[in-house]
Amino acid sequence: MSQLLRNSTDTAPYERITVKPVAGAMGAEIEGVDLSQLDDATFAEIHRAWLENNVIFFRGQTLTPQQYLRFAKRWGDIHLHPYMKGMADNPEIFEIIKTETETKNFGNRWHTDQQFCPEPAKATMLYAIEVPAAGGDTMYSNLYRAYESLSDGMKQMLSGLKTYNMGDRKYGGKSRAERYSGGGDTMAGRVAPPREDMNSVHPLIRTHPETGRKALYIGSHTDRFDGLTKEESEPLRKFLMQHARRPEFTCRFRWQPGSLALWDNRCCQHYAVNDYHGQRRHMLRITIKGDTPF
Amino acid sequence: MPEGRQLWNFRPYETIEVARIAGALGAEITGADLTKPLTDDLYSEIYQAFLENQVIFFRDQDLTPEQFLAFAKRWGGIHLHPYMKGLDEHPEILELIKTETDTYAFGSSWHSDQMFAPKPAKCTMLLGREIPPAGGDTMFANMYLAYETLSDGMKAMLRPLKALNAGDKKRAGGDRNRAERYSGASGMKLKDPGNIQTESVHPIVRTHPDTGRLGLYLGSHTQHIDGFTPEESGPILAYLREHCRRPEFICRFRWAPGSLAIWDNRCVQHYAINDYQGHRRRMHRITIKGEEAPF
Repeated sequence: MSQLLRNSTDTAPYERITVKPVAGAMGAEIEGVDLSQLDDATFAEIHRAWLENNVIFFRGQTLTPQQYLRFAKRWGDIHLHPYMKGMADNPEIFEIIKTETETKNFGNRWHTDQQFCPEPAKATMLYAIEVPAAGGDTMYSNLYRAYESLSDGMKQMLSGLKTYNMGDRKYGGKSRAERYSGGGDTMAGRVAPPREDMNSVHPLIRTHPETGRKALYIGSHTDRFDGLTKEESEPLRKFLMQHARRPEFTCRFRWQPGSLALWDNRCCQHYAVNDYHGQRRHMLRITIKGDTPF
Repeated sequence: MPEGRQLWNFRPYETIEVARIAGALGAEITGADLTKPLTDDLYSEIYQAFLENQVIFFRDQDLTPEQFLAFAKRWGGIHLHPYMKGLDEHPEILELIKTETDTYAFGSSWHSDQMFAPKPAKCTMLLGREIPPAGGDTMFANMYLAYETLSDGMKAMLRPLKALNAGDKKRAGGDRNRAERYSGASGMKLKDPGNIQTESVHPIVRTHPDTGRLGLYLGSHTQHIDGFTPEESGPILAYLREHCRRPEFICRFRWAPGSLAIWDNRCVQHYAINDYQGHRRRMHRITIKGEEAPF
């Protein structure tokens, strides 16, 4: 299959891995690697495929928590979620579970991870332990394309704007703790008390520190534009959020046990599809620290 | 339900296997060779899978145009598109081509086929011939779920409403007619619709004639709510359009040559994703006539 080199001018062929794009906009499955034992040269190719495709997927991986953490640490330091508690024996790994009787799922909005932090997570990886027979996919959107497809006038207007992002932005009038208090919710026990400092201002147009490309850096944590009222911000915020999830900018990944996805929060939004009531889904998440957006 | 209408009688599958591809809708069917004439039993199972899953997919069905037509005719009479020309030797088959240099992709908005007709197409079949290495997927949205997830108050408000649907008006949010839009699509052949009716008023909440289930019935052909001004209906339709495309109501199908999709326009919207600039995509489409006006 031909390689669609999307974010790079490096056209050298991959020698250690096979990279198969899954959609026109973004996303590629990486074949030919065992993530429990990775040499530096293979890691370098995986890193390049990640920058080129915004999100990469691996199938059939069998990882212990220790192996998973060792793989994760190749990408940087582990970022601990300010609101959600990790596993008791591996606090750097955060379990995401929806049981057969629950109706809410985690990540059910278009967002980029921890945008509310001063230094939001660079990368997120999700490893599937148990997945529904059908349903529970994750959708991704390419924020480079979202930026590049705007008109010149719009790009110019947005170039000076900053977003105000909130860690506990209310949805439907409810805070994080209120949303998770709906009775018997697995995620509820993992919500730590809210912190006042978890609001951050970031540029709306973000330059990716590794590729140099500009991306529309917006997500569900974005409450308004800095210096504008909520009312003034709302029409533009809403337009940009709808624009960013145009089908032409997206891909959709169907999980199997042993699948691992790794996405770049600096140029991706993602959405956990909640279409599998009555079935259990169990994932392990690790996020990697990032830098201050510019 | 109108008097005397028989709801479909669902039974276990004996010949085919039906594997759901998403929580909302869509299933891949295995165990059927569509190049061979279809027995009544096999057709009946496939039709049941179609009703249960709203859109069904087959793989590796390298049908000749004659075999494709013979299969399609089991589903009803062939609907000829009022605007688009079919193949010279098989006018019932519409060839959808986007070339390496075209920028416009046919079907790249959320819609239900031929809603502008008084009796819109019942179902549409699309057969993949040439497919980009990645990209060119189709998304489908389940309009039963879109309706069922509205509040009781909203359902009651929408039940009596009808909408005007037009074949060649400016699309909602756009400002170009069909000929203008297709100027970026060298592979598509337009024709004059002549005297065929291309504007129709249909209920916004439609009853599926086979299942009896209610679904939202709107798409990019929908202009405004009948009897309302565009200003009055605009916000309501905008809300419903956005609601219909929630990821929880959607599946996404990746094509290969020989893939065949059949969707039920009475309860599905679909969207052809235009994310494969520089690659060629060629599909064969047959639509089946609607048996009745939507009710």
